[in-house]
Amino acid sequence: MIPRDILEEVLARALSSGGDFAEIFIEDRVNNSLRMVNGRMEDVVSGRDYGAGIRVMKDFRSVYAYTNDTSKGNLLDTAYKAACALKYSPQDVKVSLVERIATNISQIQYVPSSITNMKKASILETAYKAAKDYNSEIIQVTAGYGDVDQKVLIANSDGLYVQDRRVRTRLFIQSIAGDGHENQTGFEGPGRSMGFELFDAIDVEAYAKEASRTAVTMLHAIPCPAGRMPVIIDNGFGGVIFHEACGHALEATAVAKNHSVFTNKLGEKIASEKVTAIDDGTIPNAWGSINIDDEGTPALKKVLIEEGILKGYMIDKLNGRRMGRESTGSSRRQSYKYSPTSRMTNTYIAAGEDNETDIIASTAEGLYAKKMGGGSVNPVTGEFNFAVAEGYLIKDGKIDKPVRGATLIGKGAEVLLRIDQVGKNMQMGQGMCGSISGSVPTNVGQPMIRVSELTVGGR
Amino acid sequence: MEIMQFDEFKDNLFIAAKKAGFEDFEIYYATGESFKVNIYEKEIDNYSVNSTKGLGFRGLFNGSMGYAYTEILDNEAIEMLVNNAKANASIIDNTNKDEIEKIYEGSDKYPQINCFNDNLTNVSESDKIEFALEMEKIALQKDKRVKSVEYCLVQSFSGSMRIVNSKGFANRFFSCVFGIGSHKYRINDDRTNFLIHFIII
Repeated sequence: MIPRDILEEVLARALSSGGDFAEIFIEDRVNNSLRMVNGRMEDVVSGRDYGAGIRVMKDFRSVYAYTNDTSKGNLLDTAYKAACALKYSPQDVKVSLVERIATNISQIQYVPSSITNMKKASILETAYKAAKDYNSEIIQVTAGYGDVDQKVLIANSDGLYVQDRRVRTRLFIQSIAGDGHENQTGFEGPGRSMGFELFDAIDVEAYAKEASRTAVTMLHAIPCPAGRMPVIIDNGFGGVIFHEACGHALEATAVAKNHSVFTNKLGEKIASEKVTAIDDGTIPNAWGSINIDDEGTPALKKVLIEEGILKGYMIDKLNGRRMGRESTGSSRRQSYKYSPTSRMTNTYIAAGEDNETDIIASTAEGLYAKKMGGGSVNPVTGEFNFAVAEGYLIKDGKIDKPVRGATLIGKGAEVLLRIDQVGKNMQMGQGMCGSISGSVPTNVGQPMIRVSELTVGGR
Repeated sequence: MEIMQFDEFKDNLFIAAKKAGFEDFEIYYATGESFKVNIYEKEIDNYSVNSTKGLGFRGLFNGSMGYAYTEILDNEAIEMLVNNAKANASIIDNTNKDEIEKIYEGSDKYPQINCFNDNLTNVSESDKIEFALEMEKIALQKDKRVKSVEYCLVQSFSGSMRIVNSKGFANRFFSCVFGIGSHKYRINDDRTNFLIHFIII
């Protein structure tokens, strides 16, 4: 994108006021999105994001500047502005960059920008038709398609010069079922680090029907009773609670500033011995996978919790300095407009040894959360509140009537200790995770788990 | 890649759009400069100073409006804007007659709204840093139960936007400037409180 000798000059300029580390992140990204509502193509947008972010550090201080004018003069000027904010002693530094090749984890077959819009639209038509035809109670279907082709170049004053290309494709289907009095929704959003071959790997019609099935099921559900009870959370997107209430508290962004309940707890028991939790950016073609993080460090598989014992955190370079630890390849950002920080990739509770049918059969009464929806978390305390998108009562060890309006309320650290059953059916669900470095694609995941007691909000 | 200045890019884009068969077309060009500083425990925790630009293109093709945007003004972007906007126009559904989109030739009269104030652009970055430091100091002194102030931000933004279209409309619109200060308190028992102040100067 930009000649190496210019980058060396820019990095040297960034260090000219006494910084001890400088980095430049250059991004050239093509985005495409389509949205069809009730069979009508309402939005089609394509675009190209382009720019560079320059970061300078001195000890625990960090300065960030970005621009999308990448002429040599402007990059030098931007680097100088960043350098001036540090105000240490002037220094004359020479930077020599050595090119490294990132190992490609996710093979891409069909670059999305080379696929016609007509072909993309036909995927949405298939999804719309399957979802709409599921049942006469489906009153609205929104189908969306998105792809991203991001090329990045990362260079830093340690001599790193590396390029990477990240291609992702995703489908969204939201069905609304209604009976004239009220409406209920169902949602599916499969995505991968893949090109258009995603649609050879997934069954579009099956996802569309599933979104409609959830909506129709919830339309006929009874209000959920409130109270404290055992809760079984099924696999896939059920992992969102672990992601939000525990995962963010294991990011160095929170840990380094003592804003996490898990700070200084390495080696301590923080979860039931049935819980092993992992963040793995190296899963081929997974939605949250990365070849290298946004500081250029190769992705890693990190064990966060092993049989209930806290084993590690997700660490970026700046917070790693604060913690006295090395980066774990966890630094991510939405775009060049964000300074990177520690984030999750594909984060999941690993498969256990309990049989799913036995987990349900051994629960006399409780709530079965088949699908989870959105929620909110206080990152300092881990207190959470999540909506159950599809829930059922459990009676006498059997799944009973569907219930709606259920919310799960608790504290992440307490729930981890109350997980007493972990199934074998680990599965991932896709999401976009928002935090201080923007919105990044992440997988959440888990097998079926049972929390021995949890507060359920309802009627 | 050869980066062009706005006028050169606009001229080349309009030629390409006409050649591609667009009936009418328009560009929206925005530029901005922003500043942010976050203070944590009397130190600069996060500091950024930024400049950005972006160009949106829309064009009528066979009666449908197609859109595309870019943040880089090079030849590749011209090709991308024209081809993608045309492809997007060809599949977008314009059968809803309540949502007709057209390229507007402009008006003779526009209200004059002053959204720009030199006072803020004259505030130095070091003054903004001092202000953020002072905010943290006051927040910590206000109540002894306040353990830390996680976010103590001062932000400012100034920008301009320009619309030019094939119907002869060309205008450079207002720029605006504003600043934001916010704090997120952490109290002894780990409860938090978040306050945001929008200051339009």
